[in-house]
Amino acid sequence: MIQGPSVDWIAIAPEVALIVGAFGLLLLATFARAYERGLSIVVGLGALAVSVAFSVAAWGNAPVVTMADAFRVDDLTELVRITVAIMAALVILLSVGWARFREHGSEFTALLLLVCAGMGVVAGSTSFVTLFVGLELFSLSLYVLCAFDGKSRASLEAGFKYLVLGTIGSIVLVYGAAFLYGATGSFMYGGVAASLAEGGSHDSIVTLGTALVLIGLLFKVGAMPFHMWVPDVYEGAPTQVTGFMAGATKLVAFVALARIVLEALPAVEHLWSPVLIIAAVVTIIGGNIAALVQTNVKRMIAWSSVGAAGYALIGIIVNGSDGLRGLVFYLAAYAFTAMGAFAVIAVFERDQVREKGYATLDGMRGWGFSRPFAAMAMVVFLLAFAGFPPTAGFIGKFVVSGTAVTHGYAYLAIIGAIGSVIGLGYYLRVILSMYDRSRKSDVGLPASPGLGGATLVILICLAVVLLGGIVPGILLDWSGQASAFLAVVK
Amino acid sequence: MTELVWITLALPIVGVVVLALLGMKLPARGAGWFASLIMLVAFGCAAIATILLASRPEEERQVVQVAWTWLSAGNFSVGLDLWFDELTAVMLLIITGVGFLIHVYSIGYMKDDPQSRRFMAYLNLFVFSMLLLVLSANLVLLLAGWGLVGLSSYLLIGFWHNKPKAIKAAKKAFIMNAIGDVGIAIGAFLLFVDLGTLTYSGIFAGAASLSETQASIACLLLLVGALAKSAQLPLHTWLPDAMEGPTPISALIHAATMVTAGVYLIARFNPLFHQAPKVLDLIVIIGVVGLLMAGLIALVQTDIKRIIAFSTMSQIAYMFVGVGLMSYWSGVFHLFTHAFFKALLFLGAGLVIHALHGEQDIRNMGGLRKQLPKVYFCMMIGALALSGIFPFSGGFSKDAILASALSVDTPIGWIAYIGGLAGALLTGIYTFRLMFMVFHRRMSPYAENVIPHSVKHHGEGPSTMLWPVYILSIGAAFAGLLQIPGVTHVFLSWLEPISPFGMVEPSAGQEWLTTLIGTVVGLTGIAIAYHLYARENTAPELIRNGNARLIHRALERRLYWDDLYEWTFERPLQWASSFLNRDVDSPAFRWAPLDGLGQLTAFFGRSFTVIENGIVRMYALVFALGIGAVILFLLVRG
Amino acid sequence: MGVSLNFFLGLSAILFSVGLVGVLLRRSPLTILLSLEIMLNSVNLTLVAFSREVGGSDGQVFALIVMGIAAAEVVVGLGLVVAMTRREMVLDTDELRTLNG
Repeated sequence: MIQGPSVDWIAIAPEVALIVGAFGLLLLATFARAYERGLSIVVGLGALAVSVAFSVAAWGNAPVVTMADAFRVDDLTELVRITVAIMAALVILLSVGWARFREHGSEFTALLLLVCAGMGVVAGSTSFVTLFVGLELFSLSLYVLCAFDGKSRASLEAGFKYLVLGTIGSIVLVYGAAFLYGATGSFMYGGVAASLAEGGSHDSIVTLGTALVLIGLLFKVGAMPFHMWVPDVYEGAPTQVTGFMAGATKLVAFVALARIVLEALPAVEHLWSPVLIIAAVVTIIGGNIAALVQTNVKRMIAWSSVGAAGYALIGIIVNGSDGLRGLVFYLAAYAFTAMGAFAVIAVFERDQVREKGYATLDGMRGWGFSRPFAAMAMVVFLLAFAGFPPTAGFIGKFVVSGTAVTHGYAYLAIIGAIGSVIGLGYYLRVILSMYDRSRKSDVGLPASPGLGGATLVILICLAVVLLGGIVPGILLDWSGQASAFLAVVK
Repeated sequence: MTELVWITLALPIVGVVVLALLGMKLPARGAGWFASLIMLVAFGCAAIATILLASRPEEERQVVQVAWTWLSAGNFSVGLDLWFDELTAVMLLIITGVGFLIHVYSIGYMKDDPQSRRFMAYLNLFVFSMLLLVLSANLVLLLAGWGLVGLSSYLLIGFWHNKPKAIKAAKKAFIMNAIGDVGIAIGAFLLFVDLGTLTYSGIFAGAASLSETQASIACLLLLVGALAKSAQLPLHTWLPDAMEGPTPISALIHAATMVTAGVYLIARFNPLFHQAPKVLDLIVIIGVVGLLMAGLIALVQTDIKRIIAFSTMSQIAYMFVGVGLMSYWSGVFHLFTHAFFKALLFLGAGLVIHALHGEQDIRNMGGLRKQLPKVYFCMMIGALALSGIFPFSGGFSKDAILASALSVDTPIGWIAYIGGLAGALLTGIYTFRLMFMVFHRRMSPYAENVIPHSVKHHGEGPSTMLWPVYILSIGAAFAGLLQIPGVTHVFLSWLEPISPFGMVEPSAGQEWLTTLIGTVVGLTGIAIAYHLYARENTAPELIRNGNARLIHRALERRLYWDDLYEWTFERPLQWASSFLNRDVDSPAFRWAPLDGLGQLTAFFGRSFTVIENGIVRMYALVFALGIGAVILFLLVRG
Repeated sequence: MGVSLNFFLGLSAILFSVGLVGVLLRRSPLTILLSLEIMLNSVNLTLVAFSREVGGSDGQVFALIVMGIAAAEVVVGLGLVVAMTRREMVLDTDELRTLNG
């Protein structure tokens, strides 16, 4: 008799709820086509709510290991689950008025739920096998979500590019995992670490494996030189999906990177640390410089997102308990900032009189006066990207840079500061364009007076970004609680 | 009880947010009444909180509450901390109480102004910043409130932004206040370096461990901030110019609250100042010189608001003398009474200006007491209080300071006493010069044309403008009864605990003596003013053209302080900046290498985008090259 | 007995390179997907080889999982290709560059 592994269903209840919700929705929708949109919203938000409920209930509990030790539910997993679920709920809110959603809402929402489930699996995985399964689960669904906009060829193009490049990335990751397995005999992070600690950490197979695993994860994170997919995919995908990707994917990928690097590969720090340092420096400078010459705002934020990944890398390089806390806070705050910024862009695109609503600097001239609330929110989000007080972005960068300095990586903090200054160059350009009275924009008056679901999304993101900046105490505490479960190398 | 204090602090900012979001949708008067209601509720909360505080035994009346820690790195932590004690309670009551009255006054004053909602929002913002300043329990929050107060004052002085003089005045005020901000910031930094903490509790506890030099430097720096905010020498030139702003602002900011922040600062930091006795002496000297100088300048001003402005500078100098002598209770007591009678005078002046359709030159007034009897009556009360005549409030408070000077039997004390008495004489003269020239004598031709018409149509003013004036006059008249020497000691006993080292307390005999002398001196001043100005002789012209011509001119030019600053700072700076612009910046930007740097950055940026050409194979190629690079790198290293 | 590990690793490296070169050189989306499949299979080969080396069946189980996921990947990829055809887009990735910069 083959014994199946023990499965702690309560521990994986969020993912189960999401998967059940996804398939249940698809099933229901086939029978009730007429109510597809309403059903999607209700079931989607409902499943997300259930998932969040379970996660919140388990917050603060001792870690639970299940699935034959391949999956661990600790506060970090919970934090990722909750953030991702909130992001997904915001996506649904943003999609409510979308025509495509009306026709295919059930598929969209089902895919979104599966993405969340996959992300949860990645966040909690303690083995390369679960990591890969979760990674592929959310990536595949995300490829389709990126290509979802039927009207736009750009959307399909973005989805296809993401698929091709993403698959290469995943393959590289598994290849690396295979090498590590060959060297250490285990797929589990703990097993790998134990074996490496005993010896053989200078084996060329180990080197190869580490290199490939790093590359695979750096791809997902969007660091240079594996960033090529980010601008195209962010630009082509439906804006609310972009907002989700910018925040949630980064958060999850970094958590995976942190877990692997700190739990599985502490013995080979001499290998991954220099790689990450070089990647961080190149990414911060490169991402910001490239953003400088952009005229399409969506693409500009995409490049800036590449730069942001560089900052987060600093957090992993430094990795004291302060550094990791800063990392988690920075990523969580970034998720809300990015979602908010893309929500504003979504509003702009909807305002466009012409069919092709491209958010360009020229196109946004003077738009700030027709939509004062959205434009003001955008200013806050851009300031948060740049790292200005009193936003959460400032606190995040402050904590990360501060720990970099105190742990002897001052040069990284300086490069980060240079990047922020360069960033101001293009963020300010957007703000000035929005409030430029001199040229009449093509937009004219907004098509509909209300913002729809976008108002709520922008409000929530604005609240988190500002509160995180003014009273970060409690959010920092939660981040610290979560990051405590990342083993500290230093 | 602390919840009430938090609510008091939060209410004005709620008001600002609501007015900012909904402002245009509310009717103008509605916005005004809403803002005033917020203030009234805030006052109520402050009052109840004070009563609750008073019900506690004396030792428990210092409440410090940490709401949340904003930043903590290692041993350093700073947060939103609240400090509520007897001194704070007094300030809270003044700020919210007088603030409320001025909000109501502004409803009438701003009646025809289309921007009145913005004005109300700014007023609420100002009150919030002032509350933050007095409630903070650490230097970081104090700086935040300090800076916000400067900002609100800038917004309010420059409210009429199509008036170039007002804009210039607002900028001047802001810059001088900024100098003060820098002083406090550096002082805070020094204290942090010496004591390792920025919270008041920490600083007060550690003050005794500082050497006199350390404490003196820190106190000097804090003093710079106080001088700037309170418009004392040498950072005083912004105050008269600030009169370009609307009159309610002059009453609120430049009489009752913002300018008193410096006095509050010194009183609050008394444990620290106790360690720097030389700085305290300096404060007294600055105070004495200031009160005399301001009093002299006020004698020759012709703009009704500027007379009152210089009077404010002079009275605040008195408060500085009080706290400099370590008689904190008398300084704050004068702050308290001054809030009433000075705001009263400003608001009354506002009514006069309103009735005369904007005329502010007292030479174009005269004889108004028959046309504006209520205003005359109230302003007379204010003037008598200002001149220190028993039994009005100003008499008790000013003479409390003078009595403290007497009881400190040192040269400094005597200088303070003599100077203070001379100042009281001057006060009597300039105050009643104002009263006589505005309300007595023959009416000027201008006033004759304008007054009857405006009184017939609008009475002396709308009731929203009159009622605050009435209430303030009651305060100006009777507030002194809180501290009758030897009889009621409310202020003294209330404020005693704030200074762990004790305060200067003159005996009842000394206080009655100074009150008597002070009243006599004040009456003398009134008599001089009466002789010179009350009748139809051309005393002003006589003085101006007579022997005292040079002195008169010097006083009119405010003792050349403005010119000094203009020549030493403004002109060199302007010259330097246009030089830099013309001969350094512009050529530099056209200088190839510097321009090249910009081009280079853009070039690199574009190079990234050139690779990003949209073709998947290219992306995959870069990916593959990246893989190769990383593997090679690690193999070589490992 | 049997073929040494290095042969397997060498073969899988070759396969991986073949696949990678295929992605780099070919323009048709279908061929690219094909090349990706080759790369995935090279990984599978590595996993199985190492599994034999290390002992235990972990590697083989993982290889099976990878195979399943590879199949899913293909489905999604082909679905996208079908969608592209439906929108009358040219199936040439070099032409697929409206998103650039």
